[in-house]
Amino acid sequence: MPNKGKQQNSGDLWLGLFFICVTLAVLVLSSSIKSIGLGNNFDPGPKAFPIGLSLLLAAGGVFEFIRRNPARLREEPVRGEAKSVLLLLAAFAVYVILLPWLGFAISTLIMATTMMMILGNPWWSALSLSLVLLTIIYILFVLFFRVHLPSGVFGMPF
Amino acid sequence: MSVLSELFQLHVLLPWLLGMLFGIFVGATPGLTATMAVALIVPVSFYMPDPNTGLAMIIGVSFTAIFAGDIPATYLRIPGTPASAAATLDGHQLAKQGRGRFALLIDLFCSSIGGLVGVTLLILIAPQLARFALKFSNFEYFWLAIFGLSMSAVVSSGNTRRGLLAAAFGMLLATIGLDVVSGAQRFTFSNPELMGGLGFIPVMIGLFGVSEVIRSVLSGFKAEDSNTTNSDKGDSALHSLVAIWKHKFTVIKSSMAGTIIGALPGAGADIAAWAAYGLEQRTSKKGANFGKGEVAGVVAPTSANNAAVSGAWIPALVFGIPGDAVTAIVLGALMMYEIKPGPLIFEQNPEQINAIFLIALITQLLLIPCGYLGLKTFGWLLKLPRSMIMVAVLVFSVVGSFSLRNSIFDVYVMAIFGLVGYFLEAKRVPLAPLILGLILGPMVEENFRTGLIKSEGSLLPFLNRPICAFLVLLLIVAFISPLLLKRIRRKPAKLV
Repeated sequence: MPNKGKQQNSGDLWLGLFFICVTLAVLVLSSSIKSIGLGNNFDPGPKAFPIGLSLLLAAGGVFEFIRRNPARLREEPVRGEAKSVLLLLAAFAVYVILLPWLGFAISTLIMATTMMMILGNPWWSALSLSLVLLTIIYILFVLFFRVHLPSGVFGMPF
Repeated sequence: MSVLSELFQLHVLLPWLLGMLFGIFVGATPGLTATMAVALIVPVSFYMPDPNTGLAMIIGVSFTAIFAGDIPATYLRIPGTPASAAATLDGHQLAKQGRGRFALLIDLFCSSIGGLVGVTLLILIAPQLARFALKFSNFEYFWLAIFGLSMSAVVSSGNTRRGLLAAAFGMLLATIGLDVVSGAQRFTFSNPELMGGLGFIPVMIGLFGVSEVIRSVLSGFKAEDSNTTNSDKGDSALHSLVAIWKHKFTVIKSSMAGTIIGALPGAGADIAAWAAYGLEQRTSKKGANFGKGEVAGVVAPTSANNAAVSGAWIPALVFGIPGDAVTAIVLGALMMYEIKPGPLIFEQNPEQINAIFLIALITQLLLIPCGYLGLKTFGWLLKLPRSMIMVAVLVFSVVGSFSLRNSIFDVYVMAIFGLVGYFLEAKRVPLAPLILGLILGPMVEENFRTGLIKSEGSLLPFLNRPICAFLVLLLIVAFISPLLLKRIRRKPAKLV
């Protein structure tokens, strides 16, 4: 089991900011929550829980922010594979956006090939592996499990 | 008998076995977790012709993935799932001595026996507990859910404070959609896809599947250079069975401990495995040999981790409170099958409960041939390019998320939560409390608000009812005891 001792007291800047931003978003968006009035039935209403929870998060976020460890802020960021991750995320983002238009088969073939090339495979290997993957998915999910996948504007079978 | 014969029909058995093999594949692949395996199989299970087939796939995957994590733990010293970390210590040492197959056969049989003990305890305890649970009303369920959430934060790896924040964040996410009590829209942005709340399965797939891919790529797919598959002497199953018989009391003890620990919300198979390993090391005459290839060091954690999976079903079926992340996903799936866990299911739907019990029992027996196949094919798995596995996980994640509601919006949800999951785990925020918050949040809110309406605004019934008072006391003890233990441990140092 990991040692929780030292971790209990140090905070994290980004985590603190994350929870504070979530709280602010909830407080702003809560103003648009409308409840149906049923008289005084002692129900605290639909806003109570979201606001209460977000205030808890805010308290935690402020604690994380105040107790942030300055030494960790000065640590070298993780390089090396970070560029691969960013490219991968960009490829994935383009994939999910184009998925309904191009259909599952075409968009997945392009995405999988691109991602495997980003991860260091030569183009011919990436393309072959992507075709194998697509075949497995077609047989398993489309033919056997009869899962419906987007066909896109070209009317592909999947 | 009719349920039993139905389970052995080909249209049930084939997907069941395929699901278990999928669990073996995912569990045996370092970086892919049992939780991910269950999250990915759930959407596929909805396409099965009947609920029992779908349930068989899901239950089968959850048990086999936990066992399969022990395979790379033994051969590569890389646990396939967190529940296999304890098995690495002695399993890998045995593998270095050319007895990896021997260790894994022990593992396989112990996993099956541990699972059988766990399911037996589940069958004996759950119905009795359900009768007791009929006395629960809104006030008791409120505290039970709070207790479950708090325990998951206290026992999860990492920081208790962050565990509680994760639980609160999960509960906040659960408020998206239509309010159950008043019908008001909350954070829906007038999007019809959000009226029913965030899709539970896409969130799970994002948190466990996509975030893991990001983490694996960022770590550069590093693996320990200690592949011992080629040097195996090839011990027979008989040697393993003889060894298990010599450690029969360890098997029983660890299985029971695993079941009890698994029943604690948030505890899970990984904690059960470590607890059983530690208990056996302290009580065994060969405690000093642990970590050097001691057979008991393999028997204890591997019996406990599969038993814990069954144990987690106890609070899940009786109270609707999952014992761990895997059971949390299974509970979500049960609700989508319109099987509502709780004490009433034992009275109103006994056939369904019997089906679940039978599936869990038979899975432990089917684990042996499926696990054996996994052992034989593990070497082939290692040859697959890691990049292909990661891309395949992403693609399966998209398929799984889309196929539930034929909704591209769910794919967007999955992608967003992939990033959120990666960020939170990078900041050492445990995800298990977050998932429990997502599942239990509505239970907490609905019971609190309904309780307040019943008590006309008074908070007294939340405190003065006997079961409520007991649960509050348990909660206080759960939070105070780690602090007290810490003080007690510090005292001897001060006296020196």
